[in-house]
Amino acid sequence: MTNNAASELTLQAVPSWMPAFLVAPMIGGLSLADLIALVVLLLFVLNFVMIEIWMERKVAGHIQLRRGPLHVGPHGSLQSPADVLKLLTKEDLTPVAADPIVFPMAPYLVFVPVFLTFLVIPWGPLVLFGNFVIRPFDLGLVYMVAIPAMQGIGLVMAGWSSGNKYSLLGSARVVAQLISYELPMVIALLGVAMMAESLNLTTIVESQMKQGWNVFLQPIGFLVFFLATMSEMSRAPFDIAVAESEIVGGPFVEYSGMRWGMFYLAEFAAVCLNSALSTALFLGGWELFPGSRALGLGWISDQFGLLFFMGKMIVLVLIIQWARFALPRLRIDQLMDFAWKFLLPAGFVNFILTAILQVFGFVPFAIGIGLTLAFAAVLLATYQARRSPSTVALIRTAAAAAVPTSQGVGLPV
Amino acid sequence: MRGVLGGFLQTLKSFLTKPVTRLYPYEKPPLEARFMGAPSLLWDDAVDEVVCVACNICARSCPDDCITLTGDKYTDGKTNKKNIIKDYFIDLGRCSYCGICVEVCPFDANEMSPHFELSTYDRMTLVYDKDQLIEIGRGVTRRTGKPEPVGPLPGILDPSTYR
Amino acid sequence: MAIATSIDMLREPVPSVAEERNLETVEMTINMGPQHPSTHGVFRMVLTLEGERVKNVQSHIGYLHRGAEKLGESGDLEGYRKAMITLDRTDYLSSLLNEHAYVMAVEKLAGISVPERAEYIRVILGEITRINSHCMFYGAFGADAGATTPYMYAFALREEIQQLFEAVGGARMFPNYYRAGGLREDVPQDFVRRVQAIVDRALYAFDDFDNLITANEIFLSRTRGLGILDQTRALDLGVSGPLLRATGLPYDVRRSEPYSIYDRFAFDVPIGTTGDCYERYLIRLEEMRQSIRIIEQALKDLPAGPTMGNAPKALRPPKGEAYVRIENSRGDFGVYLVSDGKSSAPYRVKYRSPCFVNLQSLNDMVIGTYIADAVVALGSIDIVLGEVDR
Repeated sequence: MTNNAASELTLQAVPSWMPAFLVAPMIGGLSLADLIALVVLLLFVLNFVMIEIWMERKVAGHIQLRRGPLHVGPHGSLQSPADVLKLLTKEDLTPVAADPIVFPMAPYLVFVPVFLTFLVIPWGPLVLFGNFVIRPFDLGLVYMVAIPAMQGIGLVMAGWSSGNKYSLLGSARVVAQLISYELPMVIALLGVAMMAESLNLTTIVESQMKQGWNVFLQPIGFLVFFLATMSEMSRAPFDIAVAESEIVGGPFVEYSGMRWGMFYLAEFAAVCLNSALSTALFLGGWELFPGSRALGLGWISDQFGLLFFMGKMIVLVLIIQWARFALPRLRIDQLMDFAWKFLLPAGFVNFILTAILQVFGFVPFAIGIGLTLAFAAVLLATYQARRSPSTVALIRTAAAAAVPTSQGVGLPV
Repeated sequence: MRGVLGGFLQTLKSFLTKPVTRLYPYEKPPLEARFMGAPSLLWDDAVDEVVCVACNICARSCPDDCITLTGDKYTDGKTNKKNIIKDYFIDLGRCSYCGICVEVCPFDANEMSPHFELSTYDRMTLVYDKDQLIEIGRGVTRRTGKPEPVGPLPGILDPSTYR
Repeated sequence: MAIATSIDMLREPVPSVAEERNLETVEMTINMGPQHPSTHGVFRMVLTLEGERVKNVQSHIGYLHRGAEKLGESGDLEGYRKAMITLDRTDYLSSLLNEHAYVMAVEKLAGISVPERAEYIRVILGEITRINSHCMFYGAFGADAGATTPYMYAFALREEIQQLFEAVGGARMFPNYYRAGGLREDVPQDFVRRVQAIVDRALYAFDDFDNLITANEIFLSRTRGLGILDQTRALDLGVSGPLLRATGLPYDVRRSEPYSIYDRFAFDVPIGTTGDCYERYLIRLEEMRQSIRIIEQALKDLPAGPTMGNAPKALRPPKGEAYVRIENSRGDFGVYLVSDGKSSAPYRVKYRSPCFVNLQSLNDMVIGTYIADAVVALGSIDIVLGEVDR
């Protein structure tokens, strides 16, 4: 009973206290409230990205025994606004070899899809304001897969129009990467959709509150989705598209000033977006902890859900940033192998297991999980056995062992 | 998998350890007693004039040819020098801080000072003349070729003592 | 996945989709360097690419040519001392090791003997320099493979080592501390304590180095089976140092033709089996630990006494020539000096720089691999452009 009441409360898109003129549709079906919400969202994204960049630099600094930004503001917290100012005042260069139309257009095509995807995210309720979600689409899941994929077009445009071979290589890598990782991501999302029996993101969060968080019911799906989105947004260790040590920044090589800033903004907004999506789809959205409703603590989530959502999102952002400084970069063929040979099969396994859970119930599902784990263990063991140990072992020659002289080696004198 | 997790744990460990950064312009680095900064000319306090006798050995021994000097006849009679320097230039933009000029000086007239903050907007200001070299040499004592002082360890220079 | 398939893949050209369907493809020539973050200075590679695959590589060197050898022959006064200034700056990462080779050549030429204490200090500082240089390799190699953190780990240790160099020789990178016949001056009184502190710190740091990437699966898949150089080819090219030892040949000048007092110390020469990039990396990490072993033994035996031998004040060696080889951190470093018996500067100076020779193996390693591998393979050679170009 309480569950139903809660869901009615949280599904309410427009709070009742809102005056009518705010919600009346205007041009193109957009109401004034929608426009305000868009501006608020844009401001939120821009500010969150600034905080995120500062966070990343701090994380990087402390992981690398440094201190990160320190000078602008307390603990360097105003470093990002300072950087934005610097980027805005920087000269906007267009290389001679660049395409004059496509080159300036590309940065916006990279950022806008990321921003648009924020529209469907169910941020959760906060005291009086009702449930924060700008457009509670019924096809939200399809939308959030389709729109960010447009980002690839912007990156290809940037890479091609720069007239630089490094950026061309980078954009070729982007295409390969995006196409490969879109698939496991969608397969992982199928499981989520099956559990909730809906494509609406708000409904998915609601259903997780009833059934338990998806991260526990389909951990494989979460892993696949998280890794695939990390790769989609070109974050380390999947950052082959920008790979500074190889192709020195990929599609962004020739950009400067705020145009380059747009790419940077898009990259960090994508991190925020994907963390938010993972939170909504797998980590129970704005729920405080799994099963809190059963304990009668559902009202906390209903009142302050937004804060818990943000908290989970920031934890995911931190994990993504941590990975960047802990791992080396994959090579392009290994990246493809990872997508097609590991993530995709894993996604299918998750899909089948979820189907078993939905159709046959929990016991066959548990058996399926057991079988999967056993199979994975066998696979891992085979892989370990096939790895030739000799290449890892180093031979230390003993002190008395015969060693060749320079004449024996054929070196001069 | 184990290696990847190891990387994560190691970075977590270093995240929690104290940073090694020194905040340089605010926090001066500890300079060792033997630190070789810009070469400087030593001042003889006893007779209140420069020690150098313009023998030109430092200029000839300099691997970078960055020392130029001219001498004058010495007439004051306070010491038994024959010559004294009129001009003495060191192009610190070329100097490699090797310390050879100090090592070869037969009159102990120069020493490497701890002066190292040479940033400037104009290359020409790096050509130090006699007065500047004497200025950075104030308070510097001849150490090269002398035995290490016995007693407390020489240790680290107090950052407030160098310019 | 498995190492075998990836090696086969590198050796046998697989017909691409374009070839199978008779599509027209264009080879792309990209210019990597001299301003590129992972060409280790001002090295320039012109890569001919077919998609991501490297079809040909042409290396261009000389951007850092300063005429170090010719400069070493100049000077009417103190010419033998002047040459060392430029020598320090050729291989700027193993400066003290190279100084050691140079002073040994001058000592051989002039027949100067070196006091025991000076020899021990030279060995200690030389091995610390080797650690310093291999630290730099560790950081740069990690960065080449796409990990950003190793650089900072390596530099945290390097900072302490350079502080020691500053205490001993007055400068952090180019101490110019060795002299024909001994050392410029004795080490500071707290030398032993400070070296011991570095040894303790370094052993911890090496464990951190290992934990960070040595066992990392991504790192393994990036470096194993890559850039294989077999022993015959390596010998043909004249490659030395960790590159040669990775092919399984325990050739280390310190062990093969012990110079200075290296015959007194017990240490192991690590060798590999296949000669791939990962083994080069492992060998360098192991060499750092072996250097620590040598330092600990030398510190224990460090005798008291003078640090300067019977060297004349103005050095004018008799007519003759001398060649001395040492094992610097990159391989077999040689110094060839000719004296005409009259002047105070060498008549001819020639350095055999291991980087220059090792770099010749680049084509063998890179052709047929991916562009990302080219960067890693170049990193595994561990070149210092100052020494390649001189």
